[in-house]
Amino acid sequence: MGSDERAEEAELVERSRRGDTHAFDALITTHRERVYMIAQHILRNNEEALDVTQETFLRAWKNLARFDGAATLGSWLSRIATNASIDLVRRRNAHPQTEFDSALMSIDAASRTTPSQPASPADSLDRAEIRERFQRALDTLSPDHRAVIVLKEIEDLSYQEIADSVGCSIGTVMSRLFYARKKLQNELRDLHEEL
Amino acid sequence: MKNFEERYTAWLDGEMDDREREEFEAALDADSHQEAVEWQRLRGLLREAVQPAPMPHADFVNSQVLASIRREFPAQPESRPARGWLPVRWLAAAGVFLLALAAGLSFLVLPQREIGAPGGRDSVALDTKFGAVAFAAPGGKGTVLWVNDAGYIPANEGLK
Repeated sequence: MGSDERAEEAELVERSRRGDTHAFDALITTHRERVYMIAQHILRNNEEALDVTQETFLRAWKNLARFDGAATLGSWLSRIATNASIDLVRRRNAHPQTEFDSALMSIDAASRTTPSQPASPADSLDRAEIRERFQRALDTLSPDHRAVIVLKEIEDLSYQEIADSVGCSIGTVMSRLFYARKKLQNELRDLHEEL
Repeated sequence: MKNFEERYTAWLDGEMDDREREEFEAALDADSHQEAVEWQRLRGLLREAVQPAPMPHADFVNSQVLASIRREFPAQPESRPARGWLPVRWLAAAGVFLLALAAGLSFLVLPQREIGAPGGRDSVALDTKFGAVAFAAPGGKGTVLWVNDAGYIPANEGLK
């Protein structure tokens, strides 16, 4: 983000603080995709990700007065989205979903596959299998570990950005990454050997 | 001082400078090296496998959030951005007002026509001591005379 964009965003934030919903509408439009993707990667459920996205912006509106601009608005929103998603995963784990819901999630994940190039049926099957294996492996991680893996490996954030998003130190981020990667490697060891 | 986990992560992510990396790699056993190679491959697969889905109905999120804000904060002052043009409803109201004003003025200012003159339905204030008003139909085929404050019309009074 350039300095002009940052200045423009700062002005939108200021106007939003004064109650200008049109300015806040513009901020939502700028950041909604990223917030949604973070929530989707952590939750792996489109509807829940949409709910968390809406909740994130509602929380942001309520707490705009606390946003001091030390971090970027994007990092601040990522933090809210990450925490909201982790909370939801914990609640979900406390009340496990039904088999029907799990089936829906599997279908939903597969439906995202739109190969950029035509693939043979065998390739498609392999891709679907691999995706399914990764999804299951990600499910074995704790919400905190899944969040750092998503933010690092998929969102490609820096340690500092992850620390800002998750609300912990850089050292904790690195430590969580270490154990999350080990766990994923163990879960996917046979897959790796097959490939 | 970073612990092993932090240093290993920094090494794996290429976050070490040359000196740190050489020292760390010298102390690393063969199994850890192999695991690092395996992870790099898995990382590529992970990024490929877990592609984000596009956000469905993105504008719906805006409308839902803003509706929630308006619902939860009904007293929230909503300032609107300055507009370069007046809103349409203001222009419409001004137009109606001007039309009404023009109609009123034309009734008062336009010259009175004689009864029976060509044209549409008309009303004419007559030059009479009784304050009579005549309503004429188009083409002069019918005329209604409305007389105020007079029980009858004297025979010497007539329409000119």
